[in-house]
Amino acid sequence: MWKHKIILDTDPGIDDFFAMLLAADAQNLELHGVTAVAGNQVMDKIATNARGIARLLNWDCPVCLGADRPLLIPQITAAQVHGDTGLGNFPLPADPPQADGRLAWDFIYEEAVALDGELEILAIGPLTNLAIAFLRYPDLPQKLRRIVLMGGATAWGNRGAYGEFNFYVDPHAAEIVFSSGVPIDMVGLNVTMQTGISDAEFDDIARTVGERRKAYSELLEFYRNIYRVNDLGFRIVAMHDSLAAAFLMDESVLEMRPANVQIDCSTGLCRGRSIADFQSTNPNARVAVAVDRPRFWDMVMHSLQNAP
Amino acid sequence: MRPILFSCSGSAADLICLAALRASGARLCSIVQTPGELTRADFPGKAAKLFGGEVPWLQVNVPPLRSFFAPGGAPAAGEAQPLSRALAWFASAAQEGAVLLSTTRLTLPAVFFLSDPVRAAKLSKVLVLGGAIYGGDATPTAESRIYDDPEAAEIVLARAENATLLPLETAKQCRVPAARFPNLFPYATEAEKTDAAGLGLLLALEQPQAAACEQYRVRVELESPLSRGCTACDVLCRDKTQPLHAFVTALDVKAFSEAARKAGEALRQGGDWNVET
Repeated sequence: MWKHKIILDTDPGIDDFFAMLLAADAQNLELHGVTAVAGNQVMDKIATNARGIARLLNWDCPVCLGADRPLLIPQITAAQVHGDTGLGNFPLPADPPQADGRLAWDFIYEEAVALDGELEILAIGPLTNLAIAFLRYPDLPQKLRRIVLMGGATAWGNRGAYGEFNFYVDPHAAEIVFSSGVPIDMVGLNVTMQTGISDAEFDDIARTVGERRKAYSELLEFYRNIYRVNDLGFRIVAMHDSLAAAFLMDESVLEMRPANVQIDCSTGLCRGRSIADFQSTNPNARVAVAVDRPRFWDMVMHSLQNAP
Repeated sequence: MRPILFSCSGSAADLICLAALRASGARLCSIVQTPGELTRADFPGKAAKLFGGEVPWLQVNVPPLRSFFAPGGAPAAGEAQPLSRALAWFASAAQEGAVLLSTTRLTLPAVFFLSDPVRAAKLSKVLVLGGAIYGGDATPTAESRIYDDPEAAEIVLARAENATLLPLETAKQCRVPAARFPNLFPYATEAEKTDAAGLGLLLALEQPQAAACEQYRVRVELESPLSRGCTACDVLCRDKTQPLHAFVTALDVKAFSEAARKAGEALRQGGDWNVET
């Protein structure tokens, strides 16, 4: 079976964790490494989570650390969503592997060269690592097959009026990535919010994982409660990052349309806004516009059934 | 019904709006015209004919507000008098508790809100045709009326207590058959003959039950080169410090058609619209 050769660029993160579970369950993904970037939490915690999840999932690929802050503007996190650890109270293995000594952007380039145009990036955090890689290695865009990313929105955002968190954190990095010329598939909030988990589905998950693996359902419960306690403007618990992973595994899960996407790099009302022009004759990305929710949900449940 | 002060550019669509006002029996206290790209030279004559010459009309060539803030940016000497007069009309209308209905850039209302805040607060309602929730027409993010003077829009939306906006998304639904107003615009383009967004805004005023509204917190982007002039709508209303305004998101199709029919009827009774009065 042909497999996507991927590097997972992530800031885990509760929904990142479930995306990683999904990737671990995939038969058509060949994981070449994990690169960590500050986003949902500060770098120390992200590094701990990335290493711990790699151990949990028995991944023996390199885990490389990357940017601990955005390119230009002060760092913010989503601790109010993901908790102090970034992963709620989930008990990660106590003996995580050491991080690889290479920096994220160097590792991405090395793998891109080694794989000779076959490497795809699944980016589910702020795009700082990738932007630095493009700045450091100007020939990198020609060596990547594709970037599938969770970020942006074609309607409202979850930070500011229109900003989606990953782009809001580092809009300059997002703009560099969208200007790179690499084929990009953008999975934004406009579709990920359609994966909100209903109460009945929460019950399904609890039944599926059972008592032995109840830490998974407890983590989702943590995620749900934190939305209820904090005034985040909406109460939908959505599997944002999982949807990007699912698309990489099975493109039929999303309907995509070509668009020219620009990122608003101002720091005011429209910070991080992704402006998708679907009429453009110069598209630089495919943008997700609709989701096959039942198909996606089957994939999520399958990954939970097979979770360690 | 409250009297209405109509701030417009004098376009063909503004005449449709006036026809609807005429048909509804609304009391129009004055028309203040700020010329723009779509202005029709015969607008004053046709407006006067619609209302039997009874409504005060004034044209003010005021530049967008940004130029006021630049050195030497005061209105040209020749415009000072019409501007003063327009502001007096705004004040008089506000004193009566009038509704401000704007279908053009918000420069004049903004100058009024800045220069006479006490009386501006007495406007019973501010109706604005303009803005966009997600995507614009002047740029990918900005709607043209707001884009033409974003500083003015920001001032009005920050100060108006009770604004209702009919955004681009809804305006696109406010189309009428070109044959509805055949005798009004023998010269107009197909787009102009069918654009009845102002009529939709009036409907929201006169028949609130026919208009679905959402309350959003909104500000106007002024700094971003990419998004300047966009009405940044916090649709989840998370930032409680921002002003809350109503956005008309849908109109009852039957009610809209009926209002258009009545406006067309009012025009037919007016006779030959090609004759200047």
